[in-house]
Amino acid sequence: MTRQQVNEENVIRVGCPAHNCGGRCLLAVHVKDDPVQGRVITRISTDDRPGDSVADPQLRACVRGRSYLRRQYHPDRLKYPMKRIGPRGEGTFQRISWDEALDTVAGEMQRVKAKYGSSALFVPYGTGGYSQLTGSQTARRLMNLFGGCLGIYNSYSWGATNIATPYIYGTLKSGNQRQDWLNAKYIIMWGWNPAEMRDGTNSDFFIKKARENGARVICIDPRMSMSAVSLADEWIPIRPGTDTAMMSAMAYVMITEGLVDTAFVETHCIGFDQSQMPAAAAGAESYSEYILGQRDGVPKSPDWAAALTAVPQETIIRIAREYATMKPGVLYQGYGMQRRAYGEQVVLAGCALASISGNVGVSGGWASGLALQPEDGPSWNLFPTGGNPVKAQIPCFLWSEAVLRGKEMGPADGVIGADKLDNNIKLIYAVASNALINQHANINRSARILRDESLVEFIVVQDNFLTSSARFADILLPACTQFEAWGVEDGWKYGEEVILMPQILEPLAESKSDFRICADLAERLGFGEAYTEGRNEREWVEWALDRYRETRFPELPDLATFEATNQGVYSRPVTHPAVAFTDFRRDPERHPLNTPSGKIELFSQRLHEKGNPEEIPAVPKYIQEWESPFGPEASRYPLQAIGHHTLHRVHSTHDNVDWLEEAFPHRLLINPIDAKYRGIADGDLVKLYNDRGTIIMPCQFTNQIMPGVVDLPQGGWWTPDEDGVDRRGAINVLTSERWTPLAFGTAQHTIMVQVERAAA
Amino acid sequence: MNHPVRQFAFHFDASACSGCKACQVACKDKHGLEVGRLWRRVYEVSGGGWQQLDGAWLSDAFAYNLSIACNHCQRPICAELCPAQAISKRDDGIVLLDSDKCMGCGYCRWGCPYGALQYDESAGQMSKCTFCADEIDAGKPPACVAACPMRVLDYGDISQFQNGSSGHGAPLPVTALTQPALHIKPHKDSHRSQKEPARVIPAKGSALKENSLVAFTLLAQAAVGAFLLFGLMAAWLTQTAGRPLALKLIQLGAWNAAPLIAAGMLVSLAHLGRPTRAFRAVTNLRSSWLSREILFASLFSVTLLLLTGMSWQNAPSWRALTWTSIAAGLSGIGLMVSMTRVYMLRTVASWNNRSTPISFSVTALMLGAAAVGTALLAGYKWLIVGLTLPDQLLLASVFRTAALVLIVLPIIQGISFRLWLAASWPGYGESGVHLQSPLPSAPIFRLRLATTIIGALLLAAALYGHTIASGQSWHPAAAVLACCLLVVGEVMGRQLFYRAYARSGV
Repeated sequence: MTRQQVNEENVIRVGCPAHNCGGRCLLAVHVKDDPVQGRVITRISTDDRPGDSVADPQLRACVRGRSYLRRQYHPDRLKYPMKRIGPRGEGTFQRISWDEALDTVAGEMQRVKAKYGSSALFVPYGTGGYSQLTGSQTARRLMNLFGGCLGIYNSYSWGATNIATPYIYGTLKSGNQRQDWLNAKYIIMWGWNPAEMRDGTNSDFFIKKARENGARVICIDPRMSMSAVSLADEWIPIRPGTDTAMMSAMAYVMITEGLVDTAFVETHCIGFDQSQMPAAAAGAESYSEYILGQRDGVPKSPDWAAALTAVPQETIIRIAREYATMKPGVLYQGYGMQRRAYGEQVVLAGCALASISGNVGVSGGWASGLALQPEDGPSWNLFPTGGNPVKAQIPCFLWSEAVLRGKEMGPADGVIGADKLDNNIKLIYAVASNALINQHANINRSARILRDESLVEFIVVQDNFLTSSARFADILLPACTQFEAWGVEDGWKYGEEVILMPQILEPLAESKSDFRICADLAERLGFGEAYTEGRNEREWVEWALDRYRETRFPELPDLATFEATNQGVYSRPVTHPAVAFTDFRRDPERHPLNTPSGKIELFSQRLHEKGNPEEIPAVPKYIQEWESPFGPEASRYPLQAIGHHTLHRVHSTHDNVDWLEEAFPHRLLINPIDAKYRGIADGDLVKLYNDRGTIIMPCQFTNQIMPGVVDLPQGGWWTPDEDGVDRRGAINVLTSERWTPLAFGTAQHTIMVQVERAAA
Repeated sequence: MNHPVRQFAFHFDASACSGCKACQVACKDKHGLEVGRLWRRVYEVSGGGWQQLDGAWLSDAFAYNLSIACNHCQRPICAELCPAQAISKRDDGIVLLDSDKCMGCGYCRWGCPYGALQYDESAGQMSKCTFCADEIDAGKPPACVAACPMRVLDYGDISQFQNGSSGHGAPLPVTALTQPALHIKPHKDSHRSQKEPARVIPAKGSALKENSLVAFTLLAQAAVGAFLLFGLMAAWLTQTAGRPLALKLIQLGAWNAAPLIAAGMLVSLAHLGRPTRAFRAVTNLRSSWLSREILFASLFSVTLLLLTGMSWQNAPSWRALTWTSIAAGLSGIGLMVSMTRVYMLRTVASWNNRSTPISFSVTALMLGAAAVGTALLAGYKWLIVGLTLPDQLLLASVFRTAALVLIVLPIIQGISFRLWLAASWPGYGESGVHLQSPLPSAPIFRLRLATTIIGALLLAAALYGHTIASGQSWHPAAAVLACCLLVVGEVMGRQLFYRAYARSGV
């Protein structure tokens, strides 16, 4: 391939395809017009706007955006509609026409609706696309106009923290704009790895800047992650699932050494001790009574925590003192530790620490919790799905329960909007989703459930590739990539920009955009006009820009102007980063929180009233996980497994990209101590298993993980051999479908396994 | 005021590099590199370990990353080594590889202590980072610099980056070797890899497998060894008035050596990615020992051909013969010296010591003696024709001399071997990092030595036995077997030599 001269005429600036990657970045695609293939992208560069300041930094794409051509032009792209021949899940398909495909889908939608009712239809959680016209929202709109479908709430990413954070703060918007980190003196990155999972483009860059500004940075994580290597002054390895124990012990140190910000606690919190309990719960265990062990006889001291966490007690004491005295300080909670059994507890415990240290509502501090942007943050999706005539909603993680026993599900299973479900799920329309198989817990179980055609009678999967979920389709529809469709995106959790995604390429073969496919179905079902509202895709993007202009960005240019600049991004510099809870901090009477008491609820009356103190305590508590190194299961399965979010993939997207496999070969990461004990050499094939399934894959030694913990980076595509053993390495073969008690969220990181050397 | 850049350099802040590889992939995308070719490589350096203390785990594990492309060195060893003069340095310091000239010999790759040279299978050529010269010429940054999400890569004139520590500790080579135009701000744990064992991923290439070069070097060394031995014996004979015999020995020497060196040069073409460009190999006589080696090999071949031609004449001019023989002998010595120097790379500690010239010389003599011995036995009937009785006695003493050489050489071989092992594997390389030995275990060495020694002694026995009772039937069979053993032993030895390749750096 010859080197190309950089020529402005054939460079188009465009948002990087919006997967659920943690970033929203800018690409500059270099195009040329080929006489046979039409327009092709020849190479990709990234944001090169001059300036690159902290207030308005470049949005540089990561390794996944930079290797995108290997995905865009991958030979395995789905090109034609297909229908299943052979048993479901086998993955053998036959090409059919769009007419036949859409007639079949429309027909099945009508049949199922007529036979069972709208609530038997289901669009599963899917985050493979987020650019308005690409993604599951296109199918959700279709269903809603068709009479509705069983709804979902919450997410796989933020299940526990979405539900827990409002209990203590009354809102999800407990975060500051990130430039404020530069005002911090101390930053704890607790299970947080922005250098690899991004969490907003440039989050890692901002922490680097904070460090240059003098902040001391600590990483607490079972792994020495990319963030620990590049950003931390100190890495503290911790046993997975025990973070709440360390947080409790830190609170113990602060309380017993008089390091609590008592002034703040007195005026802004309730539940710290008996002097601040809500009337209706007078006498119930308060936060400090739990920490000091005054009720349960177990002081949550550093040596108590050391035995659980494997963190030396001197370290726990020192970190507690540092966090309490080096102020203002940030305690940033990553999401992995709340994607575990009782994940709600660690969220609440972190918020409690931020509160008793007085780091709430101050510049350079951080209230913790989910931490969405205060006042105003990214909209993610503007594309309207409309109202769902079916009011019942299930927690998104419990969809397989609704397939098996929907009609028996009620509030005890997290159902909201109705007392019970009218139906089991009978039809699934999956768009930009690999959460039927690959990303949902306990793959072998999901596969068994979906193979049974008497349960789910019809499955449509709409995707770019034949993923492990797509193998279970009855009808498989080829979707466009985001270079082949119009779109627009704003930030990922953070960000002050609108990024345009004009259509660059013609759709590959017979693929269509998610919007176009759903619009064509809507046409067949008799409401095409209502679906499109008379807009084509470009006009929908224009519509989205109008919405942005009305809400977040009044100065946003119109589409024609925006496109003509070829800038790709409209950004608003952040010179005075907003800080959450400053009004509340200044005047808690005039600006109460949206909690029953109006204050920070270290003790939550609402949680107390749930009457389940073992699993949903009113104050944050360490609860031993249902699969842990401390339980009887450890005698058979002595190793904890986690699945970190690797830069190789965005969840399961990009698993088939060769440059990414070259950069990050997919391996089971194991400490040499654990490996040598099992007679395993570096690079050996290993068998990794528990009661739920077995994986055989090559291993790699690493010193950057605690002994007793193995790491199988998540998102590898499930690839069962003839014995049902996964040979690629999909961690969900090992995970459990059991959900968290309060949020009905996923606990997929709570896994115990055994590892052995495998014969070749 | 805009000063022209005198030496473009990279600046790399290892203290904040996460190892995300955006730089590596941005480069691959810009230059269309397939899997396996990395013009920029991100290395993870890690070490340390774990200890348990009262149920807690204490870790002193460390890890950091190094993002290295080509350092456009101020003393570019690749340009010095390239026999085709395909690598040159621009006025602004950027080192470029001209794909119109490269013949794909891979010599540059052996020498570069940063792993910059990458082989392009489809083109049969080497390739490397260009500092994105096209972007530079348009006033823009290289793709890697523009890509880095942590902003740890920068570029500019080297004078901008010269204050502060250079960050070139192990596993990176000492900067004096090639004077890289690379400034590194070290990671907080960089110092640890200089004192403790550290693992580097990806690991550098070592333990070469170069069958065509094994063949070439052995054939060439055999040719030189054979010709010099025959030549020395012929020279000694002319002193003692054995001219007819001396002439026959010269002929035998030429007939032996010519096909050996010709075969060697032919098989060496198989090593090239672009064999049709082999003629370029003599272009860089100014700095490349490889060019000089090919020149001497060519001279050696030509003079041997001349000798062969002359020896066909009925009454060849003795003077012409003498001078051509001397020229051939000198070319052969020049070939030996050049070939040895080819491997004495300042960046390859395991080869760059006296063990290389010793093992090459011993091999030349060993294989040369094998060729001589076999030729003597096989050509006895031709040799004896028309010889006077005194000359026949001289011939017998030639046989005995050859036998003696074949007894003495294994002893020298054994001693040189101990030297070689000791010199190649000092235990710690020059940068203090324990060298990973790619060598196999001792039994292979013992087998290699045993094979050669048994072969040499067997051939010596056949030669000596021939002087006692000529024409015995076991002599030819023994000679063939002995030759095979000697060759096998030397092939093993040469393969071990290539497997011992271990360069500095990453």
